Amino acid sequence: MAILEISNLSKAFGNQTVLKDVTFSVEEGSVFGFIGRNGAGKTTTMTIALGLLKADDGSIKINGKTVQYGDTETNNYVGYLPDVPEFYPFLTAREYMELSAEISGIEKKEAAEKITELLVMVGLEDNKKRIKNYSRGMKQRLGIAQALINDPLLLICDEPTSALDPIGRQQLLSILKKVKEKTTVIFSTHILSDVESVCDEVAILNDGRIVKQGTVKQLKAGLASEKWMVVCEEEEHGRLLLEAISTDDAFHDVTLNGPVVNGESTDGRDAMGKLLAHLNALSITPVRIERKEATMEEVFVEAIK
Amino acid sequence: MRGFKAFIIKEIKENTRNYRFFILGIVFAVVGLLSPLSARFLPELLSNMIDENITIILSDPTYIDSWMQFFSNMNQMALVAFVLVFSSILSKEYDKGTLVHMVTKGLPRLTIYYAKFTVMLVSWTFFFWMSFAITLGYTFYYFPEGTTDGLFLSVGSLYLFGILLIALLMSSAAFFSTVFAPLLTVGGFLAVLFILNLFPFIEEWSPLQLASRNTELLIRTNADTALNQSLFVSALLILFFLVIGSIKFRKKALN
Repeated sequence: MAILEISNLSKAFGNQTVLKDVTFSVEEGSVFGFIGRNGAGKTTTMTIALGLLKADDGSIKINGKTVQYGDTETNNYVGYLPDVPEFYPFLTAREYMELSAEISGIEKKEAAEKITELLVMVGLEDNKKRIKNYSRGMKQRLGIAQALINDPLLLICDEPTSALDPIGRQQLLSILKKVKEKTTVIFSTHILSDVESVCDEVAILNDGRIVKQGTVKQLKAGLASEKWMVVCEEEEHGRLLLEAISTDDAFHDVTLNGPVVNGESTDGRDAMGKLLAHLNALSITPVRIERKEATMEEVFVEAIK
Repeated sequence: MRGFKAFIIKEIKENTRNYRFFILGIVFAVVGLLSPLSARFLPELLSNMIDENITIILSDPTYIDSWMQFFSNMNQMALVAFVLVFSSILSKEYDKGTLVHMVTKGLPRLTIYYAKFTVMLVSWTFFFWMSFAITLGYTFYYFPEGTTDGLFLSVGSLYLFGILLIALLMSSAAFFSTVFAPLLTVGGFLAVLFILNLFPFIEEWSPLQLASRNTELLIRTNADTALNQSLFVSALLILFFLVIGSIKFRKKALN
């Protein structure tokens, strides 16, 4: 069952169109990566899903209920972690969590246990400082704790790692991995290694449109070309191989770098067979021959071409 | 309303920890103290400061002078300080994005709006009547012959005028996102009231009477038609400001 359904969503700010007919859905129990360049419309989509911004056209359903601009009913199913969370600086983490619990309608006794559990999870349980003294990483960890206070069905994270140092990023990603056992997560980012690390499914947004959607594996498999590499013993062998395959349509973008020949093919499996045949015909024994696995970066670059 | 109490407690903590209540407590206490003191000792101070060759005749101060000072100080100092202190009641939240977490937790926007208004209203009520009580005590001490006839009507009118400005401040804070816009709105509203007072027909209905006829009401004890009209218009305006502000706030983009 889809926990989030976005249908034909459009939004423009003045003459600038930000979203054009965006449609996708997020299945329950998955971590959904929502990727795109800065300014692609990721935050706008999420802000509309939270009822904070009005869409020009289209609809969003969360847990089967339509999101109404200005209304907060569907937010009862949602936890939200923005890129730079801002809290009331005069409160402590526990006081802020108590406020969040009370406005979420959680009973006091249940709230006290839940708050302790979440603060332990994010490593802020013993912190008595007011939030105004927190580092960005601490605020981000508090952000995830407050987002989970109401046991949301859907956790919306808007570029949660973009402002963090590598250690802070690792901590946050490991928390997200824990969270995905219970909650569906939609995770917008432009850091593609984070997507590979935690996401089950991905949608790529470019110029206000969804240009690709699928699992990480599907998207990688769907690349127009696959890269390969042959490491020869001598540069001369590399040059001979390059000459031999330069007339073969199965290979393109072939380059020679010392004894190493790099290239791309539309069908990686077929290319490997042909490369081995050429090497055999030339009586060259390579040091190494490798089919390179596609990265999300390549998937993304191809998608936004 | 879910979260109303929690949000009010948050507002009280904010105003306490940011020293807003402390500042207002000082200002309103000073107004309360200063009004009877200045009425009692100003004539003596003046006569000491003026050259011996100049003779000025000052009548003996009465409890009326004490209340005149109170109305003047309340209008010119306390009410101004109150509006200034609370002018950022929503703009700071828009600027920092702190309301986003509240709204995305399912807290209804109207709860936020009316919780903030309630805190301002309760603060105004507390500080205003605290200041009034101080003035009342000292007025009786310095001018034991004074009476309390007409006091409720004259002080109550000013209290209601304060609520009118608070409702306008809240409403304009929903419309505009900067700190200065609500201040300018309240200032502009007062300027318009002063200009409209030039027309006798409008003056009879103007809420400005609530803040300008206080000394006269102290002596009259009974409200006249013009004052009743003013009270009626003020009550309507308070409702109007609150309702249009809440409608606007419900649809305001927050991000």
